[in-house]
Amino acid sequence: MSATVIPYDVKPHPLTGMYNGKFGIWLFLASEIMLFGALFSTYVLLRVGAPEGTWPIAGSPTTRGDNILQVPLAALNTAFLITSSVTMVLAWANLKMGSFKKGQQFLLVTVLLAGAFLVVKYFEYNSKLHHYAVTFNEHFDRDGVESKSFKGLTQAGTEKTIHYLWGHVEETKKDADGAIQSYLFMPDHDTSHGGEGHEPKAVEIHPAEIARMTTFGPGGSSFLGCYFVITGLHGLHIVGGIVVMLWFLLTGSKMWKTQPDKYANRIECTGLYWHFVDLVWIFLFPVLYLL
Amino acid sequence: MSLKAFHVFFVAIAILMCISLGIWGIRSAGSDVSSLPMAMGAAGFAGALILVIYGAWMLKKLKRFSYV
Repeated sequence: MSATVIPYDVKPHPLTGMYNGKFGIWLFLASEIMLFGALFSTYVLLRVGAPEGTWPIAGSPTTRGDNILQVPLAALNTAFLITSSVTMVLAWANLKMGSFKKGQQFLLVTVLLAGAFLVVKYFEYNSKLHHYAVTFNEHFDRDGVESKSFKGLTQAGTEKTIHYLWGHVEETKKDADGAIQSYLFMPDHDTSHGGEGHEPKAVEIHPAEIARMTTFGPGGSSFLGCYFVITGLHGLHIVGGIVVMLWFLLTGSKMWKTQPDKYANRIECTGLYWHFVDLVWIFLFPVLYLL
Repeated sequence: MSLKAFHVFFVAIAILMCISLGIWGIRSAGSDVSSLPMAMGAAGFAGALILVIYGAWMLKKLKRFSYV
């Protein structure tokens, strides 16, 4: 029994004008555009329909994501991904020009840059998951720490005053039965008395005083839900790209010895996927962080 | 569309993104020239310039590669 040979894996197909692998990856990317397009649309609709004063999270001075997200970290990650696209193209170009060693070296640099992106993302996620927004039942003022407030409109159109603090939980005090007695809460720098220039001071908050307490995690607000879903899905695509590139780094030499053109084509397909993933981030960065 | 064509498109979009970061930095910093947003805005414009130079170099290097 002879093995089935997939045709047009190097030469272009007469109907599509490209080899079959490239045609396949473009079909896949078309489905990816629909996936991320749906998520971007969801974000836009939620943002446009958000009650006043609640975007990106209750109490933000403006509606931009830079109130609660770390723009410098995201800019660093953007630089990593743009550079990784450059190294990806250089890997492909060197393979096409017959230099396997240089091609593999650039592919390795691409994997390292993708890894650096994920490390930065870990720190960004971690800081959000340990940052709290506390909404009080009424105005809070204790030990020199006072809640901030804003007047927002509910979806029903009625005005509502929200009293809140942002900060970190330093300690959770529990009784013998494990029920929470109080939180030792360290407010953010600009929410304690005196504002800028004053060292923030930890304050004790009792559960009965709290209307809502949430981290800046996915459940914190609609914005944060969108942020974690879209960037999380994008992060999974980065992981997928790393797995594919590592596979080619580890097994590429075998195919290169017998079918160098086919190997270069596979790296081109990987590069097309990688550019799409980077392009999604190029749109995500201004949409989530700057606008 | 080949990787070369997609890369040219990608670099063009990245240049626009860098310029938008620059504008964001200037608008966020206001009159505070020594602030972090201003530094990031400057980095954005510098990134855009680097990408323009890289784009020209890349087009020269990949001259014999097809766009299809």
